[in-house]
Amino acid sequence: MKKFLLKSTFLIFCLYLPWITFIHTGRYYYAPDDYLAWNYKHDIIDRDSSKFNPKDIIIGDSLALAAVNPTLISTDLYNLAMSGFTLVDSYYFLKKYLESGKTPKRVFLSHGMTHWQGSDAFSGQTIGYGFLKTKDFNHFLESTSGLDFFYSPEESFSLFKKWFPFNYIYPYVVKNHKSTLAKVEYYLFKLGVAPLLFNHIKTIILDFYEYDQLKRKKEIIVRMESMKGQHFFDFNNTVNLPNPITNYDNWAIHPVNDLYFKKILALLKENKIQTIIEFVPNNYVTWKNFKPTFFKEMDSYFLDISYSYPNLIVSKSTSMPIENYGDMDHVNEIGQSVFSELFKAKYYKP
Amino acid sequence: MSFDTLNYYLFFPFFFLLYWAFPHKWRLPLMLGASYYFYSCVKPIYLVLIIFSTLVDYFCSNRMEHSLNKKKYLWVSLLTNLSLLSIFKYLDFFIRTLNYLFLSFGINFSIPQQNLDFPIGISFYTLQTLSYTFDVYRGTIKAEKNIFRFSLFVCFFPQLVAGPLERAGKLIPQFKKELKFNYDKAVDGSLLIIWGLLKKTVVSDRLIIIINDIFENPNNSYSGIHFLLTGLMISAKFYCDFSGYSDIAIGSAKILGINLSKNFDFPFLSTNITKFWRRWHTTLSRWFHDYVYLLFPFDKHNRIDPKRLLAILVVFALSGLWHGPAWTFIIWGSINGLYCILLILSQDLRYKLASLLHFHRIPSFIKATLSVLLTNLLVGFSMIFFMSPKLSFSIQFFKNMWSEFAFISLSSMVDAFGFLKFDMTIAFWTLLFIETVNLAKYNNLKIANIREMPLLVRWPLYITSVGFFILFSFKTKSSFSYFYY
Repeated sequence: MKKFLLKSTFLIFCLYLPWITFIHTGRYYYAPDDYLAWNYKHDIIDRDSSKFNPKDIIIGDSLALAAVNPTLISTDLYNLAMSGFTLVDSYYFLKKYLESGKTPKRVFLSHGMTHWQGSDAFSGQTIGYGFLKTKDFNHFLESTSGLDFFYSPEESFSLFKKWFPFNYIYPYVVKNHKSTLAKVEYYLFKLGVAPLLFNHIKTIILDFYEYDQLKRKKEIIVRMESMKGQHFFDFNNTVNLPNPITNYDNWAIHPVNDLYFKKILALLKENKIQTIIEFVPNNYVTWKNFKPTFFKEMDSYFLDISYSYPNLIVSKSTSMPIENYGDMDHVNEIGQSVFSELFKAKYYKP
Repeated sequence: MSFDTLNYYLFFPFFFLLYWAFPHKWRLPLMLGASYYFYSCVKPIYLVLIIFSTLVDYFCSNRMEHSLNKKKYLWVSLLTNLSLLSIFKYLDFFIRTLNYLFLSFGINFSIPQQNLDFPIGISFYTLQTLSYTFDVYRGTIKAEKNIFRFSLFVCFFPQLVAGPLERAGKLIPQFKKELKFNYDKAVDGSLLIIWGLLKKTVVSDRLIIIINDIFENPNNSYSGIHFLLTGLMISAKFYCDFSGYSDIAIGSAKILGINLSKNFDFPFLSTNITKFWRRWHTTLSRWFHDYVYLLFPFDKHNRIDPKRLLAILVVFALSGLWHGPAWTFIIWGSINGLYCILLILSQDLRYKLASLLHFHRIPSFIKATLSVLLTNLLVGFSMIFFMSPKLSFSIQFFKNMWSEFAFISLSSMVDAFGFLKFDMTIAFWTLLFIETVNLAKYNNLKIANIREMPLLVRWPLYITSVGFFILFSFKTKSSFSYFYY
């Protein structure tokens, strides 16, 4: 029995050792190409401030990542937007960026409506790939305690969803102990045993057959290097449908996003940095769905905020023709030049 | 709880430690509790049925032993078990058939379908308890007096949901024996579990997606040759699914020191249809042989006795019906029954033809290969019915096979799988590897026994196979097909 248990443990160890080494060192290889920008831009934090210290930076999600091409706008601007980047992610990123000695004069915050309204304050990958450190994660849990919790750690715990007798207590635990579950899931990621990691790695392995992942990843990095942080989300014109998870009737900002937006403003105010809220235009089909109540509530929200942060500039949300989009939200090459020109005209008047 | 979910691999090691930590007298209640827990994970309410069935059989078998009217108790047990099976599995099938007959005769009346939940594993434990009652009735075994031991025989978790179907004479004595942990058995069992998982999650879960895609043919990319090969793919899918399940069941039981019967004996290497069905799901074949086939009063010395041929047809049709409440299953069974009958009837003719055409000059391995190929094609052909959702679908499928048949290059054939091409490649090579190992085992080659390999080969192989399973197991799980039979 002892021999069997020892040998089984040794086998598990032999499998786990290369696995955990790969998890912690091979992020570039196994992370989906969406997250290359995360890798690339988090590495920027460690760059020497005397060599990399742009006056203006844009922080935001994939809409901004695709739409703002600094090479068409100004040498002072750098695009630090990332796919799926939420307001919570933005806060911790900015904090680390400023702590590293960088001194931007202006920060453009640009998130799509889904990231203002959405309940996913950060995605599993934020933890999974180690972009959110333990300290930040604990701080986040403390800050949001008492708020309507949003982060659903169901990815790992759904295993127990149908498992008797856990099926009976599962809804109660998920509802009342999300914070604890989130912590457990965080450590599962750290230990490299979260189902999401397995799934990503398996997907990437299978995708190698379909196209050369590494070649594509290299191309994206080269693009970001030459375009100062910008890369396309999608090159093709596809069907433009309204985003199904956006509330077009009301501004409806999620309490956690509200909290972290204010934290960002406070952080930037403390560092005497001007904050500009910039919205990437919506495609015209989507635009038509917005109700007047949405804009009324949005204006009122930013007006209230501006009393505490008088330097805050909020640009109006607008629209562009469908031809400028690669999918329902992200601009294509045409949209990128059109929007970059508009951006330049607005903030970099000669 | 299914053998291919993480839940089982959290449950089983925990149970394993507990099982060997406790002394022998505690193991029976422990196994019984674990088995009922295992079953209740599917749906706790199903426990009522299995406990009811257990109590009836326990009562009947014990009464039967001391009663002059043994038949009465046999009938009580038979009627109870078969009624439960009929109600939960076949009721809607009977209603559908009746409604169809009403409609055909112009009777404007239809019975509403009941849509009862299907209690997983009922087909298996019903047959297992029936075999027990028959054996007690025939006097082959004595009725078990210990109700806990008997209950464990009915619901022993490794084989509860989808077999192998065990006989009381083999399983119950093992529960009585004081078992000691056996290192070799535990290693063999663990290897069987990995082997079963590879079959199920790497091959079967991929093949089912590919087969469904061919059935739907959404882009019209598949041609007659794909349709022709679908039968073989279905055979491979069910083989990997069910033999994978059996391997995990046998492996799990082995780790606990209990031997279960082999369920698959290299069926794809069979040179004729009779051998194929003797080697495929052997415990079910033996069950039908012992409790149905032998009930027919045929002349044992006359190979072509019509009663014997009828028995074969009935057994296969019943086996089809056991697999599922649909005409497609009955047709599948009947076709295989007809194959066997044709094989028996054509024996003299085949020998004459072989001697006339000087078949003896052909090397035996070529003859064997051709026979294996033909056997698998015939089984594959019938498998189309087995997998088809409706009879009309299978007929249309065969029509398409014929009308859209054309010889195409290998690359065009592979390209037709589109985004499933890679999955097809993985499934194909893994299956080829499995069958190569099977062939080596069949021929008793040393290379097929991983445990006899040197340490430096053995351990990397262990690590590679578990790693291969983790990385290449298909992300979308499909439940074990035999759960629903």
